[in-house]
Amino acid sequence: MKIIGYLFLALTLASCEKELSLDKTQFEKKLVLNCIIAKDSLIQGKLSQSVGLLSVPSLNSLSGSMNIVLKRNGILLYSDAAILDSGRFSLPYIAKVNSEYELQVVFGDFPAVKAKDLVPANSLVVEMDTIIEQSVSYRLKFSLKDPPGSHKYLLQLSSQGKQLVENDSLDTQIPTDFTSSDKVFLSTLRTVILDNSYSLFDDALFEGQKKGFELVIPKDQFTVNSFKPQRIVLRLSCISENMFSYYKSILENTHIYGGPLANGFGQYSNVDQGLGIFSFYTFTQKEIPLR
Amino acid sequence: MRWLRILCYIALFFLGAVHAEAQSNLDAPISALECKGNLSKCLDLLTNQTNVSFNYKNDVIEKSKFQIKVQNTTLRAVLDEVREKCDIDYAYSNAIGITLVQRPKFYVLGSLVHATSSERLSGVSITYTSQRLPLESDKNGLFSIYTTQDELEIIAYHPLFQLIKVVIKPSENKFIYIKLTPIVALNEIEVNQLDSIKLPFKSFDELSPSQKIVPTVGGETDAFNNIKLLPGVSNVSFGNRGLIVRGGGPDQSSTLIDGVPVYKTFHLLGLFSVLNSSSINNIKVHKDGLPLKYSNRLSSVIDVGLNNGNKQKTSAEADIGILSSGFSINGPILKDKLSYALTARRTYFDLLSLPIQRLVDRNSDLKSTNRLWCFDIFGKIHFQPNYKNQFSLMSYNGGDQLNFETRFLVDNEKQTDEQTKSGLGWRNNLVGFQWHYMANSRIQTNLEVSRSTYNLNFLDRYSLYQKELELVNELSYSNGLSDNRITMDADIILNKNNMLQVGTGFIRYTFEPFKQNYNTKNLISSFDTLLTTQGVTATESMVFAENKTYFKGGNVVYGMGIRYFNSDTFNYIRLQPKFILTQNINRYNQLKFGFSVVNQFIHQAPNNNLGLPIDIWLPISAQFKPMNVTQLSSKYVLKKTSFESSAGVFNKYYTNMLEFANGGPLKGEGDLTKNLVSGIGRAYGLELASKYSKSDYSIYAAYTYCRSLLTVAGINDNLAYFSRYDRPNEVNILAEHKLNAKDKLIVSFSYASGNPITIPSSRYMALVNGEQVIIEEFEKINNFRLPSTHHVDISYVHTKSYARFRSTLILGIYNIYNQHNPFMVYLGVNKNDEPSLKSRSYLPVMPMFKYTLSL
Repeated sequence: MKIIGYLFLALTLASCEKELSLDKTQFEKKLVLNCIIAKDSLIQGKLSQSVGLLSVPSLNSLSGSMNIVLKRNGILLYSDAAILDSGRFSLPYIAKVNSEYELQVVFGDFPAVKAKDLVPANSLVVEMDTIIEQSVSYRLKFSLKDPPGSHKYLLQLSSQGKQLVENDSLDTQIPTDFTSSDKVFLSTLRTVILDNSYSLFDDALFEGQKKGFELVIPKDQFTVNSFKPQRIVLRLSCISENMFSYYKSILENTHIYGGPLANGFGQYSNVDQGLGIFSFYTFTQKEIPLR
Repeated sequence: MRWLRILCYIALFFLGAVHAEAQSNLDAPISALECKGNLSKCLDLLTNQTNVSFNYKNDVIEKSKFQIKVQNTTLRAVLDEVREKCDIDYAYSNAIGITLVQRPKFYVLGSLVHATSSERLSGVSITYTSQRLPLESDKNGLFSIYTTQDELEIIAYHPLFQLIKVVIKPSENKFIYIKLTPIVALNEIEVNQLDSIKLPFKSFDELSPSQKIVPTVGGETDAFNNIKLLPGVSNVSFGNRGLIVRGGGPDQSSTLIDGVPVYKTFHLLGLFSVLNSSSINNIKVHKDGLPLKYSNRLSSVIDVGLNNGNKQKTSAEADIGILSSGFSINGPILKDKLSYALTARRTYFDLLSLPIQRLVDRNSDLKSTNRLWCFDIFGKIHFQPNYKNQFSLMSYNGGDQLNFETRFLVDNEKQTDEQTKSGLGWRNNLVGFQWHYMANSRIQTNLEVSRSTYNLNFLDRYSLYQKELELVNELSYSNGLSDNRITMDADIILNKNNMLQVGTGFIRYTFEPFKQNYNTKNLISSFDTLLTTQGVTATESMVFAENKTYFKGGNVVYGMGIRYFNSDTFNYIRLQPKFILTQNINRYNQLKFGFSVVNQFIHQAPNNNLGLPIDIWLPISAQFKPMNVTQLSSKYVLKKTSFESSAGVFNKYYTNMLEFANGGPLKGEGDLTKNLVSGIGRAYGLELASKYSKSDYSIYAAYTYCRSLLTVAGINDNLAYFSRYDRPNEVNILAEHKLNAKDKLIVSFSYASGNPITIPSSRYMALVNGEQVIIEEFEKINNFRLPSTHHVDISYVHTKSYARFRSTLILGIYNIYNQHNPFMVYLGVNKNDEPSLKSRSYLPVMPMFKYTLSL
C-alpha cells in the first residue's frame, strides 16, 4: 500500500515545465520617462523604451535626436531638438517651486509622450534629536514640522563612512536600511518585514503639527559590507502626488507591501501615451554623526 | 299471472323505448360546433342543435371553461370531451334530457423509498392509469397524482430497481408508500418492459451518484466530476478550482447541500470536490430558469440532497485509495422513524510523505515537513414520526490545509533553533435544519434554517532561538463570511392542471474580507500590527410564487420572485421573472423554451491572474448595483428507450459585472472595492449531448460551444474582451462496458479549450530610490490564452458480493498518455538563460486505486 502511495506522490509532485509560444501576445512599444527632479535642479531625466516580455529592458538603449517641448505654468519655455545620449537628456531650465511643468517628447517612430507635474512648494523643517547606539542597532529620533495642507513624503536614509575595498579605504555613501513601528508609514509591513532604505508616508494623521519619529538601524548591514559608518544622512522629501502614487504602486507590485494578496498589476504612470514618471520633489537633508 | 307477465312486457317495452330514445339522444349528430368560454353556453349550443336538454346544478358547471371546435360528430363524443376536460360526467339520460354531475376528484401523494433502507428515491419515473404526461419523483422522493378514477394502477420505474406495479383506490388511499427493491443483476425482461412504459423526458442535468461511477484522479469517485461531464459545465482551468457554467464564473454558481449553501466546493486546488459520493442521495443542476427559492446566483444552482440514513438496519461502507480514505455508517436509532448517517473522508498525502521526508533529512540538521491534506465530515439525523412530518438536521465540516515547515536545530554553543512555518488553509462549516410537513395530499410545506461559514487563513512564521537571542516574525492573514438563513415554502396543488409554489426567506450575511496581522519580537524591537477591513453585514429578503400549469402535451412554469438586499448604506429591490415552456411534440420529442432574470448581490473579488487561491466574498455596494443576467434558452430533447439526445442554445445578457479598473488584483489596504468598475457582458453557446445504452454498454458524449465576453469602460480600449471563463470548445466522452455482472470497464475523454489569463505584455526599466527595477506592464487583461487541455482515463470496476458484504475495486490509469496540461504560467528563463514564458503542469499519468467494502 505504501509503495503505491509513494509512487502516486512522486508522480503528482513531479510537475512538468514547458515553454509556451508568445506569438499571439502583441505589445505596443512605448517611450519610458524616468524624470524625478528635485527643486532648483535642472529639468533632466532618462528616456528609454519598453521591450517585449521576453527581452531585457535598459535605461541606456536610446540615443539620437529628439524633439522636446517644455512649458511652465502653460507658458512655452523650450521647443526644439535635444540630444539624447545613452538615454539621458537635460534641459537648461531649473525646476522652480510652485510651478507646473509640462514636458512633451517626440522620438523616432514612438508615439509622442506628454506629462506634467507640480513642484511642491514647501521647505521642510526637520530637527534631528538623538541617535543612540545599542548592542545590535542604532535608534535615531527626529521630528518634522508639517506645514499646513496635505502633503506626501518620502524618507530616505544613507550612511557616509569608510569602506574597505581590496585593502583600500574609500569614502562611501551607501543606502541604509531601517525599520520602524510607526504606523504612519505607508510601507509599515515592508519596513517591518524587510529592512528598507526608504519609506513613504503622508500627513493625514498629523496635518500641520509637529511629528516625532523613531527609526531603528540594524548594525549588521555595515558588517556585511565591510563598512564603517561615520554619519547617518537623513533625507526627507516632500513629493508630488504623482511621485507618491508611482512609488506606492511600485511598492505594491513588488509583492512585499501588499502581503499575500499583492500581484504585479497596474503600475501608476503620469505619462500620456507612454510609461514611467515625470515628477518633482523638495527635500531637506540632515546628518548626524556616529561616535 | 298472464296479465302480470303482459304488464311486465309492456313495462320492458317502454323502458327499452326510453333507453333507445336516450341512446338516440347521445348519438344525435352534430354537423358543426364551435364553442369557447363557459360550459353553460356550450351546452345551450348543444341543446339548439340536438333538442336535448341538460340538467345540472349551477355550481357544477358555472366555473367550468370549455373549448371545442368539431364537425360531423355526435353528442356522445362532445360529452366525452366535456368529461375529459371538465371532469363532469353525464351519469343519466332520459327522454327529457341528460343530467350532468361532477366526477369525484382525488389527489394522491406518493412516497418512493428504498425497500431495505427506507431511503427516499428521487428521479423515479411514474406512470399511472389515464395519465396524460409521465412524471417523476422529486428530490424528496415524493410525487402527486390527480385522478378521477375509482381505481388506479401506478407503475414505478428506476433503472437500478425492480419495476413495480401498485393498484390503489384513490378514495381510500390519499397517501401511499411504494418500496422499490434493487436489481442485483439487470435482466432482459426489465429492459423489454420499458417499451410499454411511457417514460418522462429526463434532463441530463439530473444526476444520481449511484447510477454513475466515474473514477477520476487517484480513483476517487467524485460527484462533481460527474457534473463536469454535463454540457455547459467545465473547470475554470485545468486542475483549478470552481466550475464554469455557461460562461459564468464559480461565484455565479450556488452549491446547496440539503438547502445549505457551501462557499468553497473544491479541495486541493480543484483535484476533487467537497461532495463525498457515499453521502449523496441526488443532485440536480439547474441552468435554465433557476428555482426562485434559490435564484440569487447568475449561472446555476447545484442542489444536492444527502442520504437520510437507513431506517431498517445499520449499514456501513469503508474505502481506501491512494488519495484518500473514508467511511460511512448509517442506520436506525428508532426503527422506521429515526435514522442517522455519518460520512468522513481524509487524504493522507501528508502521512505517506512524512517517512520519505524523514529519510531524506536523516543526516541533516535541517528537517523539512511539507503537509497537504483535506477532510470532509458529513453528519445527518432524520426523523419521520409519521407520514406527515419529516425533520432533519445536517452538519458538514471540511477543509484544506497546506503547511511547509522547516527546523534547523544545531547543538552548538549558541544552541541554534531556527524554524519556519508557512500554512494556508480554509474551512467550510455548515449546519442545517429542515422540516417537511404534508398538511394533506395537496399541500406540502418546508421550513429550512441554516448557517454556513467559510474562513481562510494564511500564516508565515519565522523564529530563531539562540542563547540570549529570540527572534520571531509572524505574518497572518484571514478572510471569510457567514451566511445565516431561514426559508419557508409551500407546494400547493390548486387543481388538476396547476401546482403553485410560494415561499419567503431571509438571509443575513457577515463578511470579513481582510484581516492581516504582523507580529515581531527581537532584540531591537517588538511590534504587533493589525491591518483590517471593517466587517460588513447585509441582509437579503425574498418572496416568490411560481406556478406550473399542465396542458395537453406539456406544461408551462411561470413565476416571479422579489429580492430585497439591504446594508447600512444602501438597499436594492429587484424583480426576478421566470418562464419555462415545455412542449412534448410526441412521445419521443420534446421542445423547451426558457426565459429568466436573475440578480446576484454578493460576489467574489475578481482576480484575473494566478495568485494564491484566495477567495474573498464581498457584497455589492452603493456604487455597484446588483449583477444581473437575462437568459434566453431553448432545448430539443429526443428520447427513445435506449437512446437519448439533446441540443440546446442559450444567450445570456449581463449587466453590472465587476472587474478591476486596471485589471489588477486586491490590494492589502482599505476599501477592497476601490479599484472596481462595472460593465456589461454576454455569454452564448450551443450544448449537445447524447447517450446510447444497451444492457452491457453505454456511451455518453457531450459537446459545448460557449463564449463569454465582457465590456468594461476603461479596460482593453473599451472593447469587448473574453472573460476568464471563456473556454469555447469542450468535449466529454464516457464509455462504459459491462464485461459481466461483476466487471465493468470505463473509458473517459475530456477536452477543453484553454481559457484566457492575464500576463504582462511588455517590460521596462524604472529608477526607484536610485536603483534600477524592472517593471512589467499590463496593457490588456485576459490577453493570453492557455493551451487546450485533454486527457483520457481508463478504469476497471470490479464488484463482488459475499455473504455479508459487498466489495468494489477500482483500478485504472489517469491521463493515460501523460498529457502535460498547463496549471499555471510564469516568467522564467530558458536553457540559454533568456527570459521565457513557461507553463507548469501537474497530474501526469498516474494510477487509480480504490477499494470499497459495503456492509
